[in-house]
Amino acid sequence: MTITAILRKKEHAFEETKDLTVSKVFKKLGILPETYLCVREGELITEQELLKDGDVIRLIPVISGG
Amino acid sequence: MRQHKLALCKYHFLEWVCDQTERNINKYKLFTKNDRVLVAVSGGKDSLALWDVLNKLGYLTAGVYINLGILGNDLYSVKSQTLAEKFASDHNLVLHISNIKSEYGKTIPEFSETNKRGKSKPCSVCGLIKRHTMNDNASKLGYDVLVTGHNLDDEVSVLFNNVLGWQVDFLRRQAPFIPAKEGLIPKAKPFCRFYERETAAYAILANIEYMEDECPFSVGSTTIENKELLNQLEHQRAGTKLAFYLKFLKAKKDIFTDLENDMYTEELFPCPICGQPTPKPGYCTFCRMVTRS
Repeated sequence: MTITAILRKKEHAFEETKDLTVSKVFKKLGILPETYLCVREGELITEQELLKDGDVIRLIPVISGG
Repeated sequence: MRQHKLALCKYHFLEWVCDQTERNINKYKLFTKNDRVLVAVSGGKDSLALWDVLNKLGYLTAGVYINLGILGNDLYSVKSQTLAEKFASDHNLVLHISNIKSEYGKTIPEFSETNKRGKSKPCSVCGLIKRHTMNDNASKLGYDVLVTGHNLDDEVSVLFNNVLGWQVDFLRRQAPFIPAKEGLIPKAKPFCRFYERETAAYAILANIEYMEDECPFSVGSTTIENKELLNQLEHQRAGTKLAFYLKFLKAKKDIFTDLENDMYTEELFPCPICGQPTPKPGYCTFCRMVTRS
């Protein structure tokens, strides 16, 4: 089983799912928690949320403007 | 929310955003419940969240959407207009729509190609056209105030840029409220103290469908580069962005001692075509661009 993070329409699979939190996913993907929000099954979840096998999370960018 | 040392559940977060918005409106004397408020709506998270909050708080609001004619792979303007229209219709609110191509003959990318201002990037042309069109709509439709969804990150990014370039006149005018001037409707930014992350969270939690895709021209823009830098500072020390902005607003009173009398130092002249103010006698920059292009 894996945990999948969708970031800017690209899927990132994480095989090592033990103790994986949203915060750790941010770190692995090299993104700052200030710049993204995380949604699982339509619900906003915090950085401290522990993820489980099979989870699909969507990372939503919050920076906008030109 | 590390910067506020606060953690809230969904219900209380939505309530907190509404309460804080009301507080900002009162603190900066932005407008009252009797004013007709025109919300500049882009279809993005900030403007739709702001419209939602003002509507919940009982303000008399309508929206104005400006179709810029920007397409890209994601049909940016088409999708964002649809989302703005859907929000208005779902909430039974009035949305005025301006179309740049229909009104001025060209889309933003087309104006940009034929104008010196936009040779490298259309953002400058886009800003000019949007400012003109928003003010024009608000004046002609008889609104008392024009509000925009500028959040703290937008304000801090501009402030950072203005400090780097010591743009004294821009620093002087940067404020949550820009009072009326002959030909200019007052402008207000009720979300100026909210982090961008908070407005995005509000939009998601309030089930607002918004345009997540960025404008295709915003890639590599100064605003976004500044925001990334400032977020690195924020990551190291929570509250940095908020302190930078609030301390600037406080310091402004000492730096610009005559602010109370007039926010504009230079004399302004009405443009003979559109009537909007311009720093030199003759056509304003907008009308010069439209007539030349």
